[in-house]
Amino acid sequence: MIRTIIVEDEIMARKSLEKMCQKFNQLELVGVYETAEEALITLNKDSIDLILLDIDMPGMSGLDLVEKLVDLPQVVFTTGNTEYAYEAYEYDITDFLKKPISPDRFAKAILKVEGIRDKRNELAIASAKHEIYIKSDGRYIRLPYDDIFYFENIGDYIKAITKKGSFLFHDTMKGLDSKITNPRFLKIHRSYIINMNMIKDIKDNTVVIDQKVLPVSRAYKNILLNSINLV
Amino acid sequence: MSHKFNSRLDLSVLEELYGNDYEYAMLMFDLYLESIDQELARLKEAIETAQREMIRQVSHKIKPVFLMVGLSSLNAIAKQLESGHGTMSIDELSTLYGELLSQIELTKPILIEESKKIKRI
Repeated sequence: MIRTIIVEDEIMARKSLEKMCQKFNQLELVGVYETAEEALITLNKDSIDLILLDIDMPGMSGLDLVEKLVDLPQVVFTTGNTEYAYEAYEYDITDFLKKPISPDRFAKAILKVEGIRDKRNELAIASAKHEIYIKSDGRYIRLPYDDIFYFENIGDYIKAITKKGSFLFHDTMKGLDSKITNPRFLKIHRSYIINMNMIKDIKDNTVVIDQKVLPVSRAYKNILLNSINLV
Repeated sequence: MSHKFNSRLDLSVLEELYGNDYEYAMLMFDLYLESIDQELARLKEAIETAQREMIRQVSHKIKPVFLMVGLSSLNAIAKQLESGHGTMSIDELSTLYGELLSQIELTKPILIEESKKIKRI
């Protein structure tokens, strides 16, 4: 599903967009806003894939809103004037629709949105085979699987211990576990997920990785022993 | 069910926007009838107080609205208001506003009738 919001201050344009969204099963309309300020609150806390965004609004304009977003979802601008087109395309937007918007033109825009979504998904899947990205100190940091020793849970955060240093990021062990696609990563304790390629040795209920002795819970010990090539 | 829109409306625009979805057209006609007076009041106030940026904003906003109900000639007047907001005199803008207002009043009964006809089908 493409999680979509509409930002439009004019009621007829807003209702028209809502009506057209209803005809596309792949669009999940999660919010309709009259101002960019209201939409910004949602965009800062929810995961949104697509904004159908009016440009010329009182207060914060559509262009101002895009400028404020760190993680820019796909944007389809809607406007009564084509004079904004040049400036709008500076923001790597998906499409630009002149109002009033016909259903045929809207359908073409959604086709473009789907094409870009599919391409991005392919890239993400390809990337997930080799690496993960974490958000730490306001940056997205690429961690190739081969560089990671282990992950340690610290309160509401996870610490990634890697060949290039340690990085703290906000996540849960459950959330992280579901994002790691490499089968050589194994949870050995409620607070540790390790890269099995980095194990130096295993003794009793501990493993040694990067000169650190990490505990192995009783519940995970058999899984660990069944995952290694024991002779 | 089929419906023929009043020929005083721009039929090609209505066909492009709504096709055979008359319920959608009716929704837009009703919204227009509910909201246009409020927008006109804002435009009137903007002209009377010579707030040129407000004239631009309101005329920009209502410009596509007229097309959504098949009133292309009113769209053209709104375009003139928008493009002339900074260059035309307030008297000229006021004259255009008067023209817009009278055409809106003339065309309202057509839209009310269209909405009623669609409701019946």
